[in-house]
Amino acid sequence: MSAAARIAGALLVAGLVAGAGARGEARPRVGSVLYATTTRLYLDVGSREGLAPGQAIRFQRAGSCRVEQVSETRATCLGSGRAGDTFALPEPPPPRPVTRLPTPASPAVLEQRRSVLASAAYPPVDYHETAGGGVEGRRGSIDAGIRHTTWWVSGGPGAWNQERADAGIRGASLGAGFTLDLDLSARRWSRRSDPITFRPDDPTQLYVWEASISHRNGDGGPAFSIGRVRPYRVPGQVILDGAQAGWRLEGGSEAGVFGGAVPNSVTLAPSFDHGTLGAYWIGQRVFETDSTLRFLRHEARIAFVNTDDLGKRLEGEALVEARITRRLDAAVNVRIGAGVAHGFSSLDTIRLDAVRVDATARPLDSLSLSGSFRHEGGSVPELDGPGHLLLGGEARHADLSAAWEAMESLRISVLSGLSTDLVTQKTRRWIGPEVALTHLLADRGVVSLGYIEEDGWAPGRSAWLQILARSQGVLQVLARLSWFQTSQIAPGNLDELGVSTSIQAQLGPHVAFRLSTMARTVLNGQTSLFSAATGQIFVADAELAGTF
Amino acid sequence: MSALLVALAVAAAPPPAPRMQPPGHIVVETRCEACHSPAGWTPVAFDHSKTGFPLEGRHVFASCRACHGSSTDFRAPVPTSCGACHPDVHTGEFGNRCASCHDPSSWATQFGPDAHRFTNFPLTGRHAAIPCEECHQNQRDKRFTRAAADCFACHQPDYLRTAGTSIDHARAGFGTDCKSCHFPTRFKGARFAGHDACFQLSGGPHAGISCFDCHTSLTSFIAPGTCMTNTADCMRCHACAHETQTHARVGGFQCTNRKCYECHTFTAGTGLRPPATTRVKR
Repeated sequence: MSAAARIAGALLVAGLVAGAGARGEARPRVGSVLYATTTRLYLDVGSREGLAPGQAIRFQRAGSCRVEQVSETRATCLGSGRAGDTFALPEPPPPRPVTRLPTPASPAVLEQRRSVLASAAYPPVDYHETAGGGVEGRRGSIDAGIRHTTWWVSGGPGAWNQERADAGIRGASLGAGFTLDLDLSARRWSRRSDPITFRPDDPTQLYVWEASISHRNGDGGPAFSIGRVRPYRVPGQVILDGAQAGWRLEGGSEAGVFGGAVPNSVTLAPSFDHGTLGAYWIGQRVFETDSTLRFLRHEARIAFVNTDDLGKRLEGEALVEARITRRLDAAVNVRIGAGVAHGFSSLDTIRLDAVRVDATARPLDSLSLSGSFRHEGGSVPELDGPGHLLLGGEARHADLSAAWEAMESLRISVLSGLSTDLVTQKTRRWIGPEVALTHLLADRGVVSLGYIEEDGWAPGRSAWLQILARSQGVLQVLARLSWFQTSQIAPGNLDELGVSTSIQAQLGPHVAFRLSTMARTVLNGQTSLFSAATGQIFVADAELAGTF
Repeated sequence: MSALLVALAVAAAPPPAPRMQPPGHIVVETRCEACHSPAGWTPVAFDHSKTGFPLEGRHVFASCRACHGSSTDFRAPVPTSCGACHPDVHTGEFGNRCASCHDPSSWATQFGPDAHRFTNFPLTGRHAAIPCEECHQNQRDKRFTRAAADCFACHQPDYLRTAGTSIDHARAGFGTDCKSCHFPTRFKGARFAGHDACFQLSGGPHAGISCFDCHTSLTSFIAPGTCMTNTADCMRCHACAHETQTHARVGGFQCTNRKCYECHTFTAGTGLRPPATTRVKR
């Protein structure tokens, strides 16, 4: 017997054995969810197991879905569930009658067919970016909303009412690689009562933060923005009426200059009395998937800035952000500045204007730590009413929180932080636990309970019970009951009870309605000295928003 | 022997043809149904939560390339910090953890009066119903720095507004630590703890009355708590005819304001207390 014949014989025997084994196995009578998206589930069984489109499936744990599309071995299902959910399969369809297949074609014919197929030309199915793709693949978006807000205090002079319209356009294509960015808000105070601190003589206000045309290609080349520009990724730079121009490298790095007039800090009115001129660098690099350093972003600017609030200054700022393995994200931002009120030859003392450090670590899949430190060293004058200028703003803030997913639906967190006003040396510290049940009602509800103990110049404590219910993409309802006790902020302890609600309803694919309210009442300390009606407040905010 | 033959057969077989990579993708598996459905190549349904960056809120509707750019390798690391996609309108003040204030569903701010408790200035009383810009006035940089947590930094105009009134704070020598007398719910109706040393207001028949109920005339500069203002107008409530009758047997009685609080301080242990029947009904 030749070697080829032996091999063929062995393969035949192995195939028969395998086939017999396969026939001996009972088909699984349960199906399961391979993976799940927000609306669609992917099942590991198909028409061979008896599934058909439209069929309702109820999971053994919780939830249900309706079969959408079926192949022989797989199916998709619309509904709610999680990967790993199992369900009972229907009775299998009766076996089809055996039909005798035609005799296979001769090897020569099969070879001929194979060569025809192999040499046939076919059009590949490929992804084609839609024409006019914007910055780094963005196709642009438009956000618009109208909104009404009411603030009311019992025993006060009356409610404050504001109506506003907001609009934003992000990277909308204008053709030929140009994009439009717009960010504005028009506000009307239909009612205000004295004392009014903020723009008391302007009940109608218009704010334009961005109105620029840009050209920034993801493949590199010249990049610029012109108009009212929010400088693209220039750390800490104020908006300007002018231009930003640079050269972009493939991969997203960019270097360039910017300059223009700086609008008023309160009204945003254009002003040629103040301006800025500077240079920037943006760099980012993505490393190999398995490398220790996965991603690095570094940005820097050096600029002369003359603003109405800070005066003439020379500023330098750097931002470094890194992702280290998949367990740690960290960012450091440093700004230094020096006043140049008397010209560049007489630099004032160089000051550390800001140091900000943020870090998020996930040492375990079930444990995450998040913290930040911020030092604001710059003195920020603010107008507080007509002709009244405040100087201050130097502060430090730090926070640290830890969250542990103790079980699949239980999260235990510890929140802590401190904040210090370096002008008055007043400090507050807080720490406390929060327990959350995160997967209630088939992932549609979250209940959390928290308590915070507070210390410092205004010590106290607070507790809350929060309930969040949502139907992904349709409706979200949040209710929160809070209690606060604050000491040393009044002649006696102040106890307050608050209720907050928030409803977000998606009215259609592009339109959403949001309503949020907050009410508080003082529980003590008022009835003996004041009317009992002096301790209630109410704030309501309603918005109709569209995204296109 | 059969096993050996099978092994030989496997070894002798030509290497499998390389699996064709779909255009537009690099180093990905070709199990298309993992992301696509027979209904079409778009929309793509991929369980993004397995990547460590679950798509929450509006991120569900973002196109893949909005984050992954023009890269054809969707496994290549992409920065997950908010600042990688969202411009920082706060000029860096709050770092890169946007989610601590912004709702991923609408980007609307979730930072309300409750969250303000995690700062150096808890919003108590009326402060919780003030529009943000009344304190945070910088609109250009959307900064939320504030000059100070000190009451007087904001309420200096209120302090000065008392000038010329009968409780002129500057002339009366009141300090600038507003919270030692005032509640955050309302300025009117203060509680001056030192007043009990001269005339008890924290309890007794005069508890709950306001400053202006008694002090109707302007004071000169007096150190607070020395019981020397001499401006309390007792006769506003206590009619002379009635008081003269009830004090008929009190030697040296005169129906003048100053004479009342020379005897009646209502201070525990030392102050006189009139019979309940003579108390003024309020």
